[in-house]
Amino acid sequence: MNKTVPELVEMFVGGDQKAFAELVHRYKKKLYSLAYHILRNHLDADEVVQETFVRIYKRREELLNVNYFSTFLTRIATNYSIDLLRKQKNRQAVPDDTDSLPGFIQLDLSRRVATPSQTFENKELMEEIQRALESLPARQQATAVLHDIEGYSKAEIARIFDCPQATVRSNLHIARAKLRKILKGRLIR
Amino acid sequence: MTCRHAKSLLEDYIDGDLELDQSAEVDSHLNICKECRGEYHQALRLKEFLENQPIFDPGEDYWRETTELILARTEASPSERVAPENRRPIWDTGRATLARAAASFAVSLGVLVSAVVIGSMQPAQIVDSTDIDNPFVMTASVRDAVGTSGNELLTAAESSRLARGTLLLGAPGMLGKGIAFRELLTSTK
Ligand SMILES: [Zn+2]
Repeated sequence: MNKTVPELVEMFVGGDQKAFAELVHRYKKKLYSLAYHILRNHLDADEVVQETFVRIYKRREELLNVNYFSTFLTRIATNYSIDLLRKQKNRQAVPDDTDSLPGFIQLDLSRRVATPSQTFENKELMEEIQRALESLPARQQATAVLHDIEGYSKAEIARIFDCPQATVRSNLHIARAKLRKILKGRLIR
Repeated sequence: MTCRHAKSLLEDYIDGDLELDQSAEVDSHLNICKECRGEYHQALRLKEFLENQPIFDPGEDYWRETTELILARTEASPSERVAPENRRPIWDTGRATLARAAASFAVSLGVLVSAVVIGSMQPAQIVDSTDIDNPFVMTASVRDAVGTSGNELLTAAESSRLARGTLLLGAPGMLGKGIAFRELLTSTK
């Protein structure tokens, strides 16, 4: 389907199942990546992806402005991820063994181009950064993931959270300052 | 420029959020100050690592099966029709006007009343969530939670997963009160 997202959204809102399938196809990896980086395990990320699409499908008649589809989709996924994350933080951490599986590689997302050798070389520091991220409050963690890992702009994140851009900026700065403090000398080359 | 001032601008400097003249000032400070330069490089390195976080790729079989699952779940569930007066556009991410705030507050109040009524049937199951550190109220996920819980096509496990959504009451940016609705929903099935 060579249609633009707004065209697809319009068709989807009109009840076109094929258009919906195409939207699922276009956004599923992006949502999975976001949810995975917030929740750090496949099962929860899978749940977020499925739930997000099911929810937007059910509320499609409310999508009056097709240009906000992506924002709304990301908002549902982010809120749901934060909700699961808070549950995760409240219970004993469940160890995720996915990173020892052969499937632990870069997703085919054009933005990310780390070579495998780089990835292994820095694996230890990567894990430390991950643990540091996990120690942040859910909202700060999600903001850092959205901006610094997933590459969303501050303006987009402000729309996703429905908050002022200045709040996104300060959340982000606080999160990074905490990460740097936790990682201290480990970031010096 | 003092070190203190330079450090306070480092994050914005790295993100390219500074005006040209301010950016130039930070530039020249970094050229002459070893300490700030050290901080700058650490911040830069953290950013680099975050941008290159690896992700678990669940594989093509997973993507195909998940897409099929989402389509199967949505084909069986029609769009939820909401009375126009209760409809809150889900794409609308702007700040609430007074009128809209008042309207959505009224809707929230209605939901709160229903929650209390339903809750009175199962009082022990209501969980007062205090883990909501969200200072802004998202677009209500009220119907996310309510709408999906009654779907007979779902298994009990799926329903309970669906019901995990947090119910937030109030107009965007206006009220910060929230209650968790999950256990309430699963218990009223
Ligand atoms: Zn200095």
